[in-house]
Amino acid sequence: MTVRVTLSDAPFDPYALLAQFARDAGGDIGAIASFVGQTRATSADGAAISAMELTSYRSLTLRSMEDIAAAAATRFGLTHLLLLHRVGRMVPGEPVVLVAVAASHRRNALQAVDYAMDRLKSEAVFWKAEMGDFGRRWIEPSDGDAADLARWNIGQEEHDNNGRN
Amino acid sequence: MAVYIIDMCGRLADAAGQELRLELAEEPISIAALRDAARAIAPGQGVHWERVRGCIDAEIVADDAQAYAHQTIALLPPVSGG
Repeated sequence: MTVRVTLSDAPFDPYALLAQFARDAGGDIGAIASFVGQTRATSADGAAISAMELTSYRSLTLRSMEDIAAAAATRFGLTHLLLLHRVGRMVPGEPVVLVAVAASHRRNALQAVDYAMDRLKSEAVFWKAEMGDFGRRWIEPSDGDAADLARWNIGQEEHDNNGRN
Repeated sequence: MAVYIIDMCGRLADAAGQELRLELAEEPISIAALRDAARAIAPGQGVHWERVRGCIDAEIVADDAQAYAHQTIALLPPVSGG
């Protein structure tokens, strides 16, 4: 199992990284799945967004990402996992997060990406602010994120071993 | 006097800056007391202080955890997620 986690303040090309990931994973796997999250151009209330700023507390943030990645790799029997997350200021359309996984079978690969993203969206140690004509405002955790997380029935042991919460 | 340097995360930094310097008579001091002291100096806007967690040396701790001035201390509002 190869797990790679990166917290970066520099822009990245997710598709170049994905091509490299597929090469690194080798030919003896059945499935590669991925997710690329981008900065949206509109807020949840429909307001135009000119930029988004993600901040972190590096030691905790990186550990929360590593915990989530390790849990996904274990739970879904992945052979490879790549998790890269941006911090800093991003404009609409700019990539924020890349999750790529390799597994023997498609369902495990697809579920692993979904699982990792649900945990990232609710547990990873990031703070987001969006900017636009309204000024600058912080984004609060949403009930939807909590509901998404609940789908996975994450036990206390999984949290204790792999999560901060 | 003990001088505590506190990393202020997320929206807490808007009012206090990235680091808040607190000179307090008490050492050690509970995270709850540190949070109250930070709130008194830099209350900020829209901060749900009752949900602000403490972190000592890269571990999230309970409100009654004791902090020393030489430790790496942070206050964390609820996370937005990735």
